[in-house]
Amino acid sequence: MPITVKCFANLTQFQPENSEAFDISDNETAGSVLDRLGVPTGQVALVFVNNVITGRDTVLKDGDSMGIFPPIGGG
Amino acid sequence: MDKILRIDVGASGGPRVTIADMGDYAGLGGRGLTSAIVNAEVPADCHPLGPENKLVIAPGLLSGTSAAMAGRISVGCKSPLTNGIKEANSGGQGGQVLARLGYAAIVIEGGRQGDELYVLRVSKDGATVTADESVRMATNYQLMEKFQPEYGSKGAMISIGTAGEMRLSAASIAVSDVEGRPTRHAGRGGVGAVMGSKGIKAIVLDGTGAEVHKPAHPEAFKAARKEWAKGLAKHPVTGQGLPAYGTNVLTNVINEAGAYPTRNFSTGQFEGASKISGETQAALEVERGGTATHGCQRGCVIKCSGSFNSKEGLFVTKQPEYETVWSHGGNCAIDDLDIIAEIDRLDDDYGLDTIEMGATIAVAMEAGVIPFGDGQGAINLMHEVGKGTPLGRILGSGAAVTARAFGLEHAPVVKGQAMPAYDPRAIKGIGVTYATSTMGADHTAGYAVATNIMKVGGDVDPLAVEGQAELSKNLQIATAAVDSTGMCLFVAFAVLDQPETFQALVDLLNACYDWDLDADGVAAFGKKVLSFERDFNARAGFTPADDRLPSYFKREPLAPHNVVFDISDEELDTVFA
Repeated sequence: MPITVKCFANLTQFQPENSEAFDISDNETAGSVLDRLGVPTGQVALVFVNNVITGRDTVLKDGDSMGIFPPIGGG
Repeated sequence: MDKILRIDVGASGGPRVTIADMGDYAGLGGRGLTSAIVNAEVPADCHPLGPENKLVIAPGLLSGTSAAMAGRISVGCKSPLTNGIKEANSGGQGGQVLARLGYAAIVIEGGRQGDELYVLRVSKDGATVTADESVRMATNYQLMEKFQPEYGSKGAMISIGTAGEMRLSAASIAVSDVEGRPTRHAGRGGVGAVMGSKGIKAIVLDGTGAEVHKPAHPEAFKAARKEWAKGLAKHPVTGQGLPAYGTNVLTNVINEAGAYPTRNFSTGQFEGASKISGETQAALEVERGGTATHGCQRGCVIKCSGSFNSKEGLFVTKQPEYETVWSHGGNCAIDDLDIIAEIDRLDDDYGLDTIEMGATIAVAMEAGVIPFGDGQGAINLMHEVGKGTPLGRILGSGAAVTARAFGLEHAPVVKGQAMPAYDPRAIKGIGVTYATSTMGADHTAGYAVATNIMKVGGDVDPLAVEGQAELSKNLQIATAAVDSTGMCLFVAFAVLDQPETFQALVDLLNACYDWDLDADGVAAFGKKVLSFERDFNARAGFTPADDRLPSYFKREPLAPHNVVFDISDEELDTVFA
């Protein structure tokens, strides 16, 4: 089943080509997707699922949207 | 840095200059000094453009030293936008130069006599004030052309464009940057209008003979300075994120969080966000021969700025910041970085607050003056403001006045000042700051976004009610202290996360002034500054009823989270209980 996955700032290199329809398996977690994309754990500061900040253990479902960010700030 | 320079513009025979020692204000700097002087010397019930108001310009406590990031300059007065106390601070070279000339503050006071415009020149030998008809209705870049041969690379200029001269409530005060350009602004609250009301068009600082401020304990200061720079370099935000992408790196994350105010705060996500994001902007700047990493002042190690060139490779403006890209971009449904950069240039040139102007144009769009997304229309409106047409004067008076003129409820303001680039319904901590800050809606007054979204300095859920008042309170206290040091507020990312970097900042102050501050002392200092401001605002007529968001934020849900601002009035009142 497909989800959307976007990587931002200096993690854009890890964004998959099929980011709008990235296939996941049943009960796959956010952490598993991060591992499959090869994003080094230490470089990830924020993981959003459907616009809510979440953790690696969140189980994904069909049509979810994931956003992955390194540490950032501004204002 | 132990003198206060006073300019009485109401003196008979023309403005009179006096120089005095610090007196009762010793030990204060930056926001602490501007708020102390305004609170003590300005009648709280005065008209902001009248003779009783004063404009106070003060470098921070550590400005003029050799410490990194210490050159912010504070501008204080009674605000014509909020009718309360105001401190707006700016980067650029002005803070360092003024401090190194030995001045803790310039105070411009008295009632302007006649219609003359004046240029104030400050050097190590003193100050002069000269009438100059040639600056009338000059823009900031025109003033740069005229005065840069004087201030050169060692000095600086502090100036108002046409908006300040017309005393518009959205007018800023420009401070020249490393290249001498008027790209840094004390933006908020209409401080430029107060400078205009005093008839002072430009302050030219001659840097000749300016000397680095010597700390009381040079060896201790040197050690603290090293630890300070090390701490800033090693934190991922101050050492990597901000230098690479600038503040506009926030577009994507705030949009992802569903808190990106779009089309005059009517929804929390903008479909064109990726076209105007920091990532896109940085790549475009480099592709066009500009730079994505640049400091606005010497001694900056974070370097969050850059330079934005046209398609032809010619300089347009400094890298527009996140707040500007949002206000003139997503909030107006404009997804074109070239349009946004052109408007940024116009804000700098006419001397206008980018947040207030973007918020105002979005209100005008909702009113139907021009459609949402109309970039050229927005540029045309900016020229109306800069030239002072009747419509332009309404827009240049800010979002609240514009909404009133067009009969709209949707004015996203607190105490008359427009909200910045975070919707308070989806980042509730910043909503508490907007509501309760002494400054009106001001993200910098207590940047809860750091803890709500970026998880710097802890972790408080942005959508939760619990913990937001306490978070905002502590950040407002810390910020009032940091704003008094002259340090750029971006140091807070490292200071909040790294105890040794916080300690380095305390050590810098102690070594500089022979103090023995500890963490409690820093908090007490911040509280003292806030007490000056709260005291002034109370006497100006503010009550707890003013520490509120507009009621439609409590009534109209924001997509995609479909949330309202649901922190109770009682909870808001605990911030300063």
